[in-house]
Amino acid sequence: MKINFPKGATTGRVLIVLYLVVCIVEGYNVFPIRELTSESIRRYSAISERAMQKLGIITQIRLNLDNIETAKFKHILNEDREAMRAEMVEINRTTSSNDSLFKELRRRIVDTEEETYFKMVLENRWLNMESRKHQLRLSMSGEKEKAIEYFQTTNEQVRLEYGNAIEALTEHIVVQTKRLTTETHEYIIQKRKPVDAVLLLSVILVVITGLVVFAVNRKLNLHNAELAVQEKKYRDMVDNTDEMMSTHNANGEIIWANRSWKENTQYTDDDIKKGLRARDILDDETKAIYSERFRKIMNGESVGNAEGTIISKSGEKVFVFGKSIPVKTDGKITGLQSFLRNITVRKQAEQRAQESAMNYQRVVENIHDGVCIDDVEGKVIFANKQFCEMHGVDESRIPGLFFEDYLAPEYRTLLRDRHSRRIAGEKVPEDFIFEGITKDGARKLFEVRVTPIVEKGKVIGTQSIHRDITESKEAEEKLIETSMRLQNVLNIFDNSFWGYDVLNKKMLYVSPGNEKVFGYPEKDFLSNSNLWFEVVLDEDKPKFKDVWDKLYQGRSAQIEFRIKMPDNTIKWIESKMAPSLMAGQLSRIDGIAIDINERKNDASIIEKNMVELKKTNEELDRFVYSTSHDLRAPLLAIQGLLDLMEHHAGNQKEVALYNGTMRKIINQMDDTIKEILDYSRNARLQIIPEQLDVNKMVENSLRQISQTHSSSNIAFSCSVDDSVPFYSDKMRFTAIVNNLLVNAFKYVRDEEKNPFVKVTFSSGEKEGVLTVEDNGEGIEPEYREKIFEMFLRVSEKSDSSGLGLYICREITDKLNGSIEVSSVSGKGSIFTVRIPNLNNTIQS
Amino acid sequence: MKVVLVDDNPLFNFISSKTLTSMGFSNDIREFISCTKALKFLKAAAATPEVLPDIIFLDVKMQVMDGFAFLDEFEKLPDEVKSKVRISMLTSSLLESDRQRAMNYSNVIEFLNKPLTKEKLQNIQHKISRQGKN
Repeated sequence: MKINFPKGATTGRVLIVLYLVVCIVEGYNVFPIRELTSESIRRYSAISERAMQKLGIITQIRLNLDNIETAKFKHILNEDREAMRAEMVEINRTTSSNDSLFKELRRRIVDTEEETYFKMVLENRWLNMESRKHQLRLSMSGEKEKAIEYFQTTNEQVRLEYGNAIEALTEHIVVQTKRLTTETHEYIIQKRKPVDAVLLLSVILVVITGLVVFAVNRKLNLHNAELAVQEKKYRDMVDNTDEMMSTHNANGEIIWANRSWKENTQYTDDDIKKGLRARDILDDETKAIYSERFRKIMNGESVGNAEGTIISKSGEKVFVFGKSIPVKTDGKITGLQSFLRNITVRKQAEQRAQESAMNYQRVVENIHDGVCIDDVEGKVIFANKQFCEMHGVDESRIPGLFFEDYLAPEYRTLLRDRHSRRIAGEKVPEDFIFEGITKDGARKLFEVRVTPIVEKGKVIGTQSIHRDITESKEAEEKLIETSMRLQNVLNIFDNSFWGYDVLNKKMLYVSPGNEKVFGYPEKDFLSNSNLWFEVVLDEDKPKFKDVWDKLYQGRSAQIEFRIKMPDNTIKWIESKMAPSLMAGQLSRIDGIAIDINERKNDASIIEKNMVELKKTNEELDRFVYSTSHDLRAPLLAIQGLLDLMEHHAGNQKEVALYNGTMRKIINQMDDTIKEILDYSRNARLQIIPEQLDVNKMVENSLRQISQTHSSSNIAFSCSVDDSVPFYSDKMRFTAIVNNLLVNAFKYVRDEEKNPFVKVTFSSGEKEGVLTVEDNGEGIEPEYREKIFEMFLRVSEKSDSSGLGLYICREITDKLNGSIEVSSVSGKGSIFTVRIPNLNNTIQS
Repeated sequence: MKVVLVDDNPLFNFISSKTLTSMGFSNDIREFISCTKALKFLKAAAATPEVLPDIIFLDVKMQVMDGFAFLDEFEKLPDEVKSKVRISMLTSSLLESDRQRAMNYSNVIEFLNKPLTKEKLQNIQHKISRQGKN
């Protein structure tokens, strides 16, 4: 008979053979062995089965919770109400699902310690779910801030404690299972001891008991296979859980890790075989935590849950949460077993939530608008600082403030009604303006936008954004009033005020005064933005180039130009323009056009006057210069003569000569002074007409001349016909007679044998005509007009000031008369003076 | 010393002439009451340099042709005339501009105010003798 040996190591086979020999030798031992074997299998199986079931349930519970945990922040951040509602449903579903799981778990609780841990889990279960629900409710009613704050304080703590309770329960089950397994093993070893004692004695019986061996062997094989199935179940569980499991030896080297651990860290079995150390794959902070915990575990102290960060093989951060338990071999701690969960998604969501909460806080606190949330009763349950400031209420009164506390009385009923209707779901205005009143009675104007907060299709409150528009409203009213006033003022002016949009080449406005200035009504200029330039005279158009240059540089400009009016008349316009720049670009021009036609005409008169004035000034200059010279010259001559008299003091003849010369000079000077006096009188004095005796005036004049001029050889004749009484200004007429006679006598030609001077006068009703004729030097043709100018002396014989003929011209002009000369150079001259007869003036 | 007087007022020529002789400055004096006549004389004298004056006393403010016009015409005279004849302005003008304008002409050595005196003549004498040496 062939003995079918079990598969396995040679030593194993030998041991089995020996064992069977012993069994045969000590026949009574056969049954106990069988019993023992089936007992151990049964026990192992039961223990593992129980642990597996319990761990399976816990894993399911935890999975349920994790699903919610990782997703929950997204809803709050996005304020996704639908998602939040879905989550509520999910939480309810999870809760009931977990409830049945808990019941199931309860049935399987085997000892008091397990019972304690389970109770802890149960206690925390409701807290966890309820807190989550509360948080969601807060978010959905718009109190996101509170929800986040609530989460940060309560929920986190609950979550941790709950997690810890589950962890503790899990750990207890694992430890318990191990302990039971070890106990079973020891029990079996104990039972085997008597067998070992007789081992050697049984050897000889091996052959005989071949058949029995075969049978038992078969049975053992079957049991081994059953054990393998159990082990596979364990392995499957370990490999299929999301829990990251790893075993570390006393050196901190990872000697085993499950699938989840490897997937999350990206390290492989090859890396583990090379002696990968746990601390090498942690970030600095976690490294310190791990070292401390590793030390404690190795010292037999227990540690709780902790969070940390693993750096994956590709360098990504993996946030983990979990705990470690010691691994014992023969009662000695030889390493640790680590159970971790990947909480990266949750952690990132948490970080984003924190950032977002801070952003929200910043936005609400820093916006200029007031923000408040009212509940269904119109009670303010939240308001930011700006809201309190603008309504003048104390922050401590929020929540608890009502509409009526900040609305002006006349708005209270209306807005209370509107609020009720909004809560009832009716459509009411969202944007409106109301007047508020602060506690010290100041009234302010507010613009508000109200939006309802809806939960499950029901309005549970409202959110409002308030803006203080008191000042802008006042400013707006003031602006309207000012612009109306300005418009009224502009309308009464006869000037054209206008505005031009450069970018769109469009006339923006033209005041009614335009018609008076340009002759076109303002609508013509508005409909044709170029018309104003078309009417500018072509020769004046180039002048605008300079204007454009200035305006484009942002400087104001001014221009005078002429236009052609609708009736073809030409008119002078002045325009002043001011530019408006937008981002350095000329965008708009405002200006005024003024009719300056009158001013321009006045200006031409003024210009004419200016020319005359200039001439007068020049004459005056010349007059002063010449006069001072003419008055100074005789004095200097006298000075020279006095020097000579001194020098020749003893010489009577010489002294007499100088005396005579001196007298001559003094006479000349006297003439000059008289001329100046005549000039001044003519310019200054009123015309006083009286009847003139021309004969007598000529006689007087002649007598004076004879005193200073040697006139003995000159034939003088005078014929006066004043049968018509002649009226004129005596002083002025005398000056004319004197001057003309003096000249006639002065410019006698030395070579003329029969020099003569001939005077005639005849008067009519209208005018008197005086002529003075001589046969003296005469006047060169080119000087004939110039002789009447001031200080022009054309003859070298002249020894007077040169004012004589100038004064004659001035006087005849003043008397509305005239003076002319006809002369032949070297032959003689005739001066003809016509003076109006002022008889009418006297008679009337 | 030969002297020419140019002044449109004969009274001044008379006084200047009397002063020149009285002070022993010159006994050879020619008087002109017009610039044109004086220039005509100088042009004619170019041929007989011994007749040319050593100095001309020239008034500024004169009728028809004034002192400056005379100086412009003088510039056009032959070198024989210009090299010998010096000019002193003799005027009642107090204008500094007149003085500066006159002194720009190379032959003008002095700008005197009327009337001539002993001191003024000594000064002229001194200037002429010093230039003569050069």
